[in-house]
Amino acid sequence: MKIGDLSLSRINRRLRTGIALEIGSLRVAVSCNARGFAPTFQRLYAHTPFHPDPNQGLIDFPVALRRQGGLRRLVAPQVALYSDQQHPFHPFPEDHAFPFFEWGINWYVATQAHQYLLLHAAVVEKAGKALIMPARPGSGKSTLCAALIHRGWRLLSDEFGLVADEGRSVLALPRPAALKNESIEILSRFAPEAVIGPVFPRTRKGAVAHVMPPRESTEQAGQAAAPGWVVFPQYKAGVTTRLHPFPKGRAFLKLSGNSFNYKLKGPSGFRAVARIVHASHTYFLEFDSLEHAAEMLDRMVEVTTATREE
Amino acid sequence: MTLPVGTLDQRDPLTRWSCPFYDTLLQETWEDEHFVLNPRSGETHVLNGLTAAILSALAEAPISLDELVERFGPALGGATDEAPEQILDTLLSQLDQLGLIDPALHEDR
Repeated sequence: MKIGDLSLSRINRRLRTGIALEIGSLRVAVSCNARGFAPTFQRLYAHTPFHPDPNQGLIDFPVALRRQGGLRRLVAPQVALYSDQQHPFHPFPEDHAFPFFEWGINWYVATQAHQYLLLHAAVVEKAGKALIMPARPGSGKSTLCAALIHRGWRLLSDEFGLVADEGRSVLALPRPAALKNESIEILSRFAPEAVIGPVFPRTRKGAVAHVMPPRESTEQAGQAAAPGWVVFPQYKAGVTTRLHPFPKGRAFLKLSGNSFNYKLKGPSGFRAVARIVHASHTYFLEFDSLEHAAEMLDRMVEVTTATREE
Repeated sequence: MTLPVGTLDQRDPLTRWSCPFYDTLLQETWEDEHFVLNPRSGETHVLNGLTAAILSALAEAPISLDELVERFGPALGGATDEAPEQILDTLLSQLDQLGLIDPALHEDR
C-alpha cells in the first residue's frame, strides 16, 4: 500500500498511531500529530509504500513529531521531534513540521545508518550506473539533482550516497529533494512538470520547498546501481558551464572527506571509496545553467559508455 | 647517557627502523600519490612516491638513517638546500609520529 492510496483523513488517523514508511532500503516508523503536516506528506510521499503497523518487522529508526503543550501552544504552537527517547533538536514552529521531519530523517541517517558508507552527495542513475555528486551546501547539488530527475535520470538520493558492498553498489533512498530560496523558482522554470510542495518561508535555511521524486524513481527504489561517475558540482553565477576530468587521487581525498562516517568504517570505508574511484570516471562540473549542465552530463554518459563498451 | 637494557634511543643514528605491520596497511596509488590507511590509528595518509618506496623498504628489513641516506639520498637530487640526512631524519620522525614505522634495536645493542 502506498501513501497516495489513503484519503487525507485516514492518513491523519494512521499518523497518530504510526506507520512504517518504506523508503528504499530504509524502514522508518513515522508518527505525527502536527496540524498541516498530512497534506504535504500525502502529496510528496504519494508513491512511497508503507506498512500500517510500525511494530511489524524491523525498523531502522523511529521519527515522532509531537505538538508541544503549555500556554505557548495558544500563540506560537511548536512541534518536537523524538526518536528512541532522544530529543536531538529544539522544537520547530508547528507549520514547519514537514521540513523538520525531513531534516530529522537526514539527521538519523547521518548518525545511525552506519551499515553503509554514507556520502554527503546527490546520486542519480542512468544506463544502470550511478552518478555520484558529492558537494558542500551551496554548491547547487540539490538543484542540479532535481533538474536531472526531470531529464531522464532516476533519483537514488538527493542528500545521501548510501554505499553498500564495499563500494560495489549505491542504494536508493528516494525522498523529496529540498530546494532553497531562488532554486525553487529556477527549478519550476526548468521543469514546469515537477511536483513541488509548499514553500516554507523563514526556516533556518531560508525559504525551503520540496520536490517529489518521480514515480519511476520511487517504484524502482529496490534497484541499486553500480558507481559509474563521480562529478563534483559547483554552481557559479556567470561562468561558462564546463565539465573537466578530475584527478582520481584528488577524487579519493574529496570523497573520503565528504563522507559522514569514512573514519568510523575503517578499512571497509577505505576499500569502498577506492573501489568507487576505480570504477568511476571522475569530473569537476562548474555550471551556471541547469540546461547546459544536463546536456553535458548526458554527453558524458554517451562518451564514457561508448569507451566502456570498446 | 646509558640506556637501560631494552629501551631505545630513537635519535640514535644507529637505530634501525622498520614497518613490521606493512601488510596490514591498505594502499592505493593514483598519479604518484599513495593513499595509505593505517588500521592501527584509523588515519589515512597521502605519501609521495619516495616516501612510499622508503616505507616499502622498511617493510623488507630494518634500516638505519645512515643506510637510508645511502640508498635514497641520491633520489632527493638536491631538490632543497637541506642535507639528505636532515630530510630523511625528519621523514622518519614524521612516519614514527603517524605510527607507520617502529624503531628496532640496532645490532650491537
